[in-house]
Amino acid sequence: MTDDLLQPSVSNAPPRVRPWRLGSQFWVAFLGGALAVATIAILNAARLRISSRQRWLMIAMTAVTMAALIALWLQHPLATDLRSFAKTSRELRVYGRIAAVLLYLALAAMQRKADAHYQVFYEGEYAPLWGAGTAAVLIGGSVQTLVLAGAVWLAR
Amino acid sequence: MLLLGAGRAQDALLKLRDGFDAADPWCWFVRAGALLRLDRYDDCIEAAKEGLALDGENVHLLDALAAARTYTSDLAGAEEAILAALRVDAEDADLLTRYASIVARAGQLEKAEKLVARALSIDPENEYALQMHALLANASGDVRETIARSRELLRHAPEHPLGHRLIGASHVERGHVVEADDAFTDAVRLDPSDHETAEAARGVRVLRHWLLWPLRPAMRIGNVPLWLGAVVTMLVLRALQLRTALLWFAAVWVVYCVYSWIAPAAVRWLIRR
Repeated sequence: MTDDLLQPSVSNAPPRVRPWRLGSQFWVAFLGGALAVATIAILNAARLRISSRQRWLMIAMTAVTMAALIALWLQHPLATDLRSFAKTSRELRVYGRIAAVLLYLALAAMQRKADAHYQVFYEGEYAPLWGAGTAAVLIGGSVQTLVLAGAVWLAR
Repeated sequence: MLLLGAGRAQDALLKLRDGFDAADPWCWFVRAGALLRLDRYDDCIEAAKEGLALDGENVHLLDALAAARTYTSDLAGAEEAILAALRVDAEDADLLTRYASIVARAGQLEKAEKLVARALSIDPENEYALQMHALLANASGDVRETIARSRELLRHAPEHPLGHRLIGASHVERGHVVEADDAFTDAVRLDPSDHETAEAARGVRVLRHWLLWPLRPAMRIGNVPLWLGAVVTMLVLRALQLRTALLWFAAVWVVYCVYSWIAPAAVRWLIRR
């Protein structure tokens, strides 16, 4: 009598790299913007062994957020050329932060289940986000500004 | 054996040294069990293998081997051992639950659920199976199910520290500070050697402090709804051109956020003083 449930299904995976805490990723969103937090979140998803389909979904959500931000910047009267772009209003930056935080909430929700699994079965030891987080904020933030500036320049 | 059961694994090992019979698989099992409890996984694996060389179908030794391999991250090897044990006795609830813990670690939660369900259908009062049942709910992030299954565990084993710990953790998730504190106090009382639980209990004790009282509604509602609500409110106020209201709201929101980040650390420092 063959029993489906008692058939081997486990293979050894490479040793796990410690993931980052979901809560810490908030700061990357707040300080670094949407691209920064997306990078960290997607890297963390790999650490949490989240399926590649889900990770593609995360990339898609980031693309949608960036598209929304670009649209917002283009339709704003201040972004007429590169010179006035430099004097971007505080308002656009606030929108950028709000968008980044909302994206963070969505990406964190997608990581929650895998994170809970990690906490239960791997004693929940996390890696500090200082190094990678700061890099993401600086690099991601700069890249995002360049992307937005590029979009404005291309449109005019 | 009795020493092992009482949790004194080191003493069991010492006692075993006089009168150890290398031809008796049972001696090897006691040795393996003690080593497992002392977290000496490689030694446990060796002892189990010695015992299995004498009696290859000894389910207790196979179970110990599976457990030790699980903790050394050799999940495939653990599965091999436990399946060998299940081939001998497919109706043992403990073995089925051990297999469930292995596949759960590998991320196969559905299969783990089915295994535990089968274990519980064979022996509904099995403490190990009930414990794994609750852990599986916890691992998939289902708070309500975790609490329900933990209560089930506590019905059969009222002194089980994991049951209280899971309920405590679930209450923290939902922001029920008082219930969480009660649950964690019980958990710590029942297993004072568990440092993680003690740490979590201290964290919850902090949350009960009067300085953190303004943060309780935030804990109940949850971060996501709170932030969404704040953003929506600010956008609405802006659309309605209510500039002063918007500025006041934004100011209060910023102060609240800063407070929620500083206050817990401050309370922890106060308590330590």
